[in-house]
Amino acid sequence: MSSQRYRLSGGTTIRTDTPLSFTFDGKSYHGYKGDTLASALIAAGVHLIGRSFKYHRPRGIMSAGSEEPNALVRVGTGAYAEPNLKATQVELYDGLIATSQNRFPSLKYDVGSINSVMSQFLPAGFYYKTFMWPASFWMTYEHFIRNAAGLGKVASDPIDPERYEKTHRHCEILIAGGGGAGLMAAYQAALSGQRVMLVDEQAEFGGWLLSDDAVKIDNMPAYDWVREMQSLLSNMDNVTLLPRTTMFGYGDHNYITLAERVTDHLSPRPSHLPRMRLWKVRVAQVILATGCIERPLVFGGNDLPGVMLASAVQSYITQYGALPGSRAIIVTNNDTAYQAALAFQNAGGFVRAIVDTRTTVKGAWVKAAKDAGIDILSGHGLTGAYGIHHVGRVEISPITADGREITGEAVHMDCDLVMMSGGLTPTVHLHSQARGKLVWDEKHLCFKPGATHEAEQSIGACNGSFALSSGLAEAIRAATKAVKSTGGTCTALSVPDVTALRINYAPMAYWKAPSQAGAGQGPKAFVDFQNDVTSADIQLAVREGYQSVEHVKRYTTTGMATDQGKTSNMNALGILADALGHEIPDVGTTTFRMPYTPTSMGMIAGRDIGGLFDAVRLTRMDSWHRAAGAKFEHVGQWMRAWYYRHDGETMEQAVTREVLAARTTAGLLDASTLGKIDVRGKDAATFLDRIYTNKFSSLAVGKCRYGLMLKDDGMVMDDGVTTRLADEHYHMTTTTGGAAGVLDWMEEWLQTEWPELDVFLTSVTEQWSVATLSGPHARAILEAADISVDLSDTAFPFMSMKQGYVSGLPARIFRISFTGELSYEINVPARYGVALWTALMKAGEAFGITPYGTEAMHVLRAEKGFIIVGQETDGTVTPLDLGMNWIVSKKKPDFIGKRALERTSMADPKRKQLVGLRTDNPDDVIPEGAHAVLDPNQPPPIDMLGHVTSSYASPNLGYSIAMALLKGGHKLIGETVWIPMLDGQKPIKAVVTDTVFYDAQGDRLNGTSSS
Amino acid sequence: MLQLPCPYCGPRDELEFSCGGEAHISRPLAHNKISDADFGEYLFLRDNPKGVFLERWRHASGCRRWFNVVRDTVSHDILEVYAMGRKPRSSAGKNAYNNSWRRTSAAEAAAVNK
Amino acid sequence: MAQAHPDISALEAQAGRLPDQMPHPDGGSGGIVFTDLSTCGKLNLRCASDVSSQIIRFLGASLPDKANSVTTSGERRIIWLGPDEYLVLVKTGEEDSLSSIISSALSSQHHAATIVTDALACLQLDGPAVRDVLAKGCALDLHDTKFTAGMCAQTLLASASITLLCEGDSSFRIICRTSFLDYVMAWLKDAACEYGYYVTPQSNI
Repeated sequence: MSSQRYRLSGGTTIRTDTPLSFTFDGKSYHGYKGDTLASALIAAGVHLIGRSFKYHRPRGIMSAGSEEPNALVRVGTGAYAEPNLKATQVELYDGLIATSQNRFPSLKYDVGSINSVMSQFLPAGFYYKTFMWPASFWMTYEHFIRNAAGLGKVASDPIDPERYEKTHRHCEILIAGGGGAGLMAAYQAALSGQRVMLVDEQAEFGGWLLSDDAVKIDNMPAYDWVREMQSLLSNMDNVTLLPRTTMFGYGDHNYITLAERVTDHLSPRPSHLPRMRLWKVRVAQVILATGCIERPLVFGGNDLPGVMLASAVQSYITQYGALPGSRAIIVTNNDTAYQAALAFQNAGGFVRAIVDTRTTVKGAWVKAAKDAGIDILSGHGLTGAYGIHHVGRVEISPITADGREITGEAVHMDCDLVMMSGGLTPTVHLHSQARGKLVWDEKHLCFKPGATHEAEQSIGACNGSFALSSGLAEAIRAATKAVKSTGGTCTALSVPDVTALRINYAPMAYWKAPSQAGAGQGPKAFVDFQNDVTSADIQLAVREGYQSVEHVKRYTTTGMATDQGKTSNMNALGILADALGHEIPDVGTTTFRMPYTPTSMGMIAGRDIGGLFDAVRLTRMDSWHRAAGAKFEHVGQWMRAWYYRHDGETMEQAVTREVLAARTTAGLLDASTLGKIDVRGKDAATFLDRIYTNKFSSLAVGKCRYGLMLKDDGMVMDDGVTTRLADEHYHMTTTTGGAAGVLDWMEEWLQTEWPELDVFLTSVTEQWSVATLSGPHARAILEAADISVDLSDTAFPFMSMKQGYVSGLPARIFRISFTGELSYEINVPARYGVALWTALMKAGEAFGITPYGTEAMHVLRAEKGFIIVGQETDGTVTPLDLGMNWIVSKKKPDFIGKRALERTSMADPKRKQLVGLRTDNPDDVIPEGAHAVLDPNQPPPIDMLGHVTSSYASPNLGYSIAMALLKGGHKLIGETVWIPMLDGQKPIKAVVTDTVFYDAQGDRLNGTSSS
Repeated sequence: MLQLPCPYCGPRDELEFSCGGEAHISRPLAHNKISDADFGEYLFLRDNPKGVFLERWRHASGCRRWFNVVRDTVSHDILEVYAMGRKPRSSAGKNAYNNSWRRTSAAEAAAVNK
Repeated sequence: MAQAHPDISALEAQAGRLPDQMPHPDGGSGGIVFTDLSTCGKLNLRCASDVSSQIIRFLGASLPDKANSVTTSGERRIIWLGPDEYLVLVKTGEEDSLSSIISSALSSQHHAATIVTDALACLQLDGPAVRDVLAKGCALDLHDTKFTAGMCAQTLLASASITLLCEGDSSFRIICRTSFLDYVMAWLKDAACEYGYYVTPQSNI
């Protein structure tokens, strides 16, 4: 296509039969299937891609992989937009829309680049220094910083319309990195029949072999060998090949997380497939073959568009068929860049010179370059690069053998491409995440994996073995070892023949170019491109007293954030070591964090969003409640009917109607969510005597008793009514929220402390649907519903249970009350829940039966002063604090919490105790959680008495009631307290009362009213 | 995420378990005569060592059974798994058990079921 | 940009409103079929494992002697839940009599036979995609050579506790508390969209 001026013929992954079109900053371009956005832009001659984070400097494409610190773009539009994608990783698809970032109004003319001019005022630690003091100024600064800070913009639509999947997998051997070593290891391991996964972050397997045109494996071009290995592997059932998949996290016990980009490269995207898939893989043996990253060289202007890693240029030429420039200067401290120089020249580019920092250069590749007529300037360094939006000229100076000083006059050369190589850094991130140790390799000037912590091995370049032949040999060794330790067998393959020019890879220590400018002067020499950290910043940090590499990292921000120091780490360490006068291994390294590359939050959330965010539990009567217009509230994971809103009602009106009905006619509550535990065994009574504060061994069969459970520290943990069904059989109920906890708690005591007790516990919460009928007409309604048991007080007294039938449904009927009214809790096998409910509603119609929700339930119980565990209690409240001494047995030798209640501090009169509050103005409803004080006019700090736990307008009493935990509350009854309010409202005046507001005699329990 | 070996169900993800904290804390019976301070040690004091630790775990989302684990809190290595009511048998576990200050605590002496 | 696939929207799925049938996106029959077997009888049995011989004739099969395994007799399944805990699945209505028979047979031993028919739901999952769908929410090794017919496990499916039974290469059952059934079903349907699914009417075993 005409717009691809720099497109070469060929390219190992380019499919010229599939042309694609895309736009960048609104302008249309063309590329091919197999391109990345970066390679397509290079083929189109576009090099200015974005603006940098801090200084808004023009930036281009530096690398060809996930280490890219500069070319960050936003891809997609509207709700589908995603910022900060590396153009080097974005696979091209038809219709792709990319935009540059961090610029206003345009990429070429960016207002923010004033920061670059002002940069002498933006040194390392600028934010720390500037905004430390005075603190009140932070409010002013923040506004500016929030606008300027951050990189890229997230999608404006808060709802991500994409689907994301998460899945679990187990395998014996996982190999991260599908280059030569990874492919070899996968094939060797797969021969054992064990489950093998091979993952690679690129669209195609092969890694560097896709870019290496000079190597032959078993007499095949490297790319043909890759295809052969891939086809062998894809035909094996026990092998899972995952391209476009980044192993981004290495967790304990070989818990591996992979991010697979499933459809990002497709257009249109099949909508049944997720955009990304998170794989959570438990692996027996991990083999890391993650390769290495070429280091930039640190010289002034090294961040200009057109300054690229030498290996990246080779990749663009060989893998993608895109020529990144026409006149190149190569600058290197090692042999590897010579191959890139030759590749550039063979592709039709003109190599102005190879600038080599080493005084003597020799070897096969040097000879090949000389034979090709390339000028080699040994003992020289590139001491500056210049240009506005692209490199146009470089400064080359003779340097001393140690590279620290300039020894003579600089020469200047014009060029449109700088290919730099500062040596190779093994990608040890995952080994380091796995808490493996690193060791210093003096010959190769890098850290490489040392002792491992998890069951993992590193092979090939990420292990510091840069030669392909040694990588392949390590692959076979590692895979054989992994197979053996997972209990499998395989015969070791012979190492394939590798034919290549020999590289004697021994880079020169040259961490930054010498400069004649003073410290902090001259063009900026970048170390961490993504975070805009220069060599001067690191030197400044040292001058300001920072010694530890961890401190320097945080002070300068080098190696932080999403980049995790991929290209910068070693250069930063080298410069830091020089500045400190230490050796690099003595400076040490920082910790590599996951994720290895930025990872979508949507993928981590998966389907745990919206209605599936957490499990929601429904009762069998749920659909009835919904049809009746109920509003719901979450109680734990349960959805409970909160109140039933009739047309035109406010919540307050609905609740009032429900509360009044329960006291004047009858109310019906879905109480199915209460925890129910079947307790059986010959020691059931003994066990319950230890679990509850009161006695249950004395309970007669068929009788119910309210019980309080404490933790061993004496604090209330749950309550409920327990009924003796038979001598060795109890039916326990718990609070809705406490059900699971109580069962676990009791199991814990049985299994760990009292294994000698013969007791079995079985949760039967969902076995029973429960309708609570409460109110003066409860008895009449049950009779109308054709109940089969005698409901008279003598035959069926309060706190007892009968079995029978209600409307023909088998039922357990408990005569217990949480409202203070005549009340029956009718339990039927859960499948009959709706049948029971509708039968009761029908039978009660003539009596004014009214379904009520949890809000009315709260008001009704508060009128009676009944506590709700978790509302009146918070883990710091004893039965004594609640005024419930009557429920604490004095006779039992032991129960959980008994000894703790005897602690002297428990008798402290200053403990918070539960009391009632009645507001002076009956219309004032105190906000729950509000604090009470004795004197609202006391100068601050005001002495706090305690807080309000429950507060309601009581329709039955006609005034507002509340309960509160107040210091020494029991002694305050009759006193006036004040509840200060926010926002200048007047404090609420209230009098401290007993907690029982309504029917203190309890007459209404029998369906009769004394008042 | 750790992988813990349930003595019944085999290796499962940490997510299926709940940790019950320090193991081998004997409960003094209610009618003990120990001081509030000694009782407070039973109630509130928990070790948090860097290194080998004896812990109780429960396979909460599985068989619901409790068991003891000898775990290195630095390396996360699971050194031994053993039943409730038993004592560790590995040398690391034995050392941790025998060297714990609890062996000489008043609360432990007041517990009859140790 | 993604094309809107008919009836698939994240919001619909989140609200649990996915339809009962989702064709495979590439055509053909669904990857998974869901059948609600919740009406079957269920008995939670707590007893020492050595009473197996005393009740085998009532149960029709011995108690599973291996953790995480199931014994089978016709439609009956006896599922290992713990060293002294089993779940017995029987034909609808059989649980009442079975529970009394077992209780009298074991009257001299510490035991508990508790009817949990209404407390637990039971779903049958069949189809080639069944292991892939389950793996999205379940961390167990579900490979067809590792989790085979006759094995069971109590585990998590997303945020729900479940008991998982393998009935065959592409056939599983999920048992969960009935209060979680709506969530589990909504989750399963959403997870199965990738492969297509079909929900059959409730049925007895």
